[in-house]
Amino acid sequence: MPTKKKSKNEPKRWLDHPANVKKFLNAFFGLCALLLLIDLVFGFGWHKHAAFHDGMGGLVEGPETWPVFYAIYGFVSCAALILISKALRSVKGHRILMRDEDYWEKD
Amino acid sequence: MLAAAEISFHPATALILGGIVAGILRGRYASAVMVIAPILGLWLVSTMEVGATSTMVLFGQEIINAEVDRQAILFGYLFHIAALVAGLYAFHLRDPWQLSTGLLYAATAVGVAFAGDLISLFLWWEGLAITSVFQIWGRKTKRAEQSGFRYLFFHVSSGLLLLAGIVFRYHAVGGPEAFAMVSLTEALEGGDLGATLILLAIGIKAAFPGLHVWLTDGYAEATPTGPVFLCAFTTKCAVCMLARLFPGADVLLLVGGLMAFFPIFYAVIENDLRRVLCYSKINQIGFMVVGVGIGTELAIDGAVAHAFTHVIYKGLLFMSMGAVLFRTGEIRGSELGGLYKSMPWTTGFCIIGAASISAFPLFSGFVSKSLIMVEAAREGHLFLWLVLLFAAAGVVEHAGIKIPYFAFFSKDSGLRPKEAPLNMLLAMGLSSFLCIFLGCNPQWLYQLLPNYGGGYHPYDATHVVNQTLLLFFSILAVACLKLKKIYPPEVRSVNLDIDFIYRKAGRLFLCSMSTFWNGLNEKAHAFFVGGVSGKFSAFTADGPGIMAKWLSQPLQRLGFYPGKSDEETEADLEQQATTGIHPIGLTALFGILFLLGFLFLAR
Repeated sequence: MPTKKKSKNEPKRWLDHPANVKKFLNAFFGLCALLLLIDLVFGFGWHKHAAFHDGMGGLVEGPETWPVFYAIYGFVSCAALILISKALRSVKGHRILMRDEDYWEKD
Repeated sequence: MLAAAEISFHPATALILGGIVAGILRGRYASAVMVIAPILGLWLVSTMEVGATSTMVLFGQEIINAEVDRQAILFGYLFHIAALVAGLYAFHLRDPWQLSTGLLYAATAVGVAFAGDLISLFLWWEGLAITSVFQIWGRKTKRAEQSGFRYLFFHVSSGLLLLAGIVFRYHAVGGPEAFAMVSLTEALEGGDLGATLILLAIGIKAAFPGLHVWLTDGYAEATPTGPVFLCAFTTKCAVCMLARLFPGADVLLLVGGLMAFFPIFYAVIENDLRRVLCYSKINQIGFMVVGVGIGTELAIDGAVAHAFTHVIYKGLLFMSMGAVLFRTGEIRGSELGGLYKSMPWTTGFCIIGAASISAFPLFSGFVSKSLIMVEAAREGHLFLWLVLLFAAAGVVEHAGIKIPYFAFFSKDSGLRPKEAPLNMLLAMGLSSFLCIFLGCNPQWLYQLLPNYGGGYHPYDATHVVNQTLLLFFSILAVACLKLKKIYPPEVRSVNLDIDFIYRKAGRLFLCSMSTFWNGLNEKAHAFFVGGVSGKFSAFTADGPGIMAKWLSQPLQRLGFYPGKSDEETEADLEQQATTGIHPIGLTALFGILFLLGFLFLAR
């Protein structure tokens, strides 16, 4: 089925303006900051329910009660994940896992 | 004790009949069956009473065809809902094979969920393998055909391993209790070979690490509608069976942790967006396997609940990608982008699926995944818990952001396909509704669980805040790396997986076998056809003539040919022998000599 292509006189969408993308990102960053604030207030001013009981060795309370633990863990894991995956494609021009698209068709 | 009630109709009846009728009817009538049969089946499941059984006798062996318990009913509902959604999604299809086998595939899944002993499990298990492959072959390309055979290779192996496991169990235990559907965890951990083989058989279907390549290979080559069927049944049957046969097996903690961990790296760099979903599927099954491995009542509930929500949201994601493939003929992230402009509804449904799989609060993944996470913590598996949390952050990246972003936003690919057909939109809408409904009303799901969800409340302030923080900061990391242009772009490529070994080993095997056997064949050909048989045929062709020559002299002496010279007799006899025409008298003489010879030898 032939897919329709973009026509020249198409109206621009809201997201087509870079300024709007910037606005969207700023709103997202603001939301992250707000969430961090909520977590700090909640973590210090209140108390978080612990899921780990006594099986935690030396730690009195598990990491799920530490303020901002989840924020740091999420950020670091995701960044590490992306960087490691990128390295798995190729390191300094040496291909590790990535191959040409027709790799399995070649004989 | 009251005798167990007998089921009048097996719960899979509606789907089996529907599958047969859908194969006979054509056009819209066949499609209508795809919707009506699952609805009838849903009603049939709702009439099932816990404890009821259905037995039949096969080759003198009594088989418990179906045994109703709470877990079976839950999976029964789930598979019928999945069949309904998939049927609606495939309503436009006019391929009777795909439609008919699609319903039969769903029926065998229901059969597995209700199987009352290991023999009936085996029969349904084989059905699962055979009926499912048509969703791949339906694409009708060379690649799909080859991929279908690789898929079948794994699933037939799984069936054989299951059968071997059952036979070993029967030898070890003996009697009908060898076939009972009870926990084999103790036997497994005691080193029982039968239990190990059964675990391996289920492991293939559950896509254990190393045994998972049929999934990423097959689903990515299937028809646009195929993965919607495929993603609902096979792996969930495996999870259902793991929960029945191996609850609390420690090895599952390791296996599940690995499953949740390794595929996310592949998902980040994979270009085929449906294959990204396959990797994320293995990651999600990893959570379920961990739940079964923890083995507490709540953890098993968590695994089952996660299977339930996962079928719906993963189906939704596969549907949105299927719609893109259906409309554009393209599914590579490097070639797509900007589709939100002409497919806004599909975009919206995809985002709902992405939010559900990422386990955002108010979406279905949140209420099921947390059961497993909290039980991992309560049982003190700190390292495993950290791995799962890492995997949970990874899901946000590859399924939550990557799928909708590269398909519908990202750069503008210039493609302006039409919005998905109405039936696809309805199917996606139904799944989206269920994702949000279950996310907001978890009690509906929990009351169906085998142990009623153990009174767990997912909407605890600590949990909501922690989870939201994890998700937002994972997205923040993606956004930062994207803005810094460190994020790996989508490029046309394939990535080597374990199938590298299978395929290379397969080719090596094929090559060495062909060299050896074909070489042997040529040698044998040269020896027998060229040598022995040539000599033998020359002997049988020329032999009578030579014999006649030898016999002509004595026969002449004995006076058989009076009035003829030696040369004339020889020439006559040779002609008779080579053409096979002898006078009756001579033939009779040879016949008598022959019979006398036999008589002599037979004494």
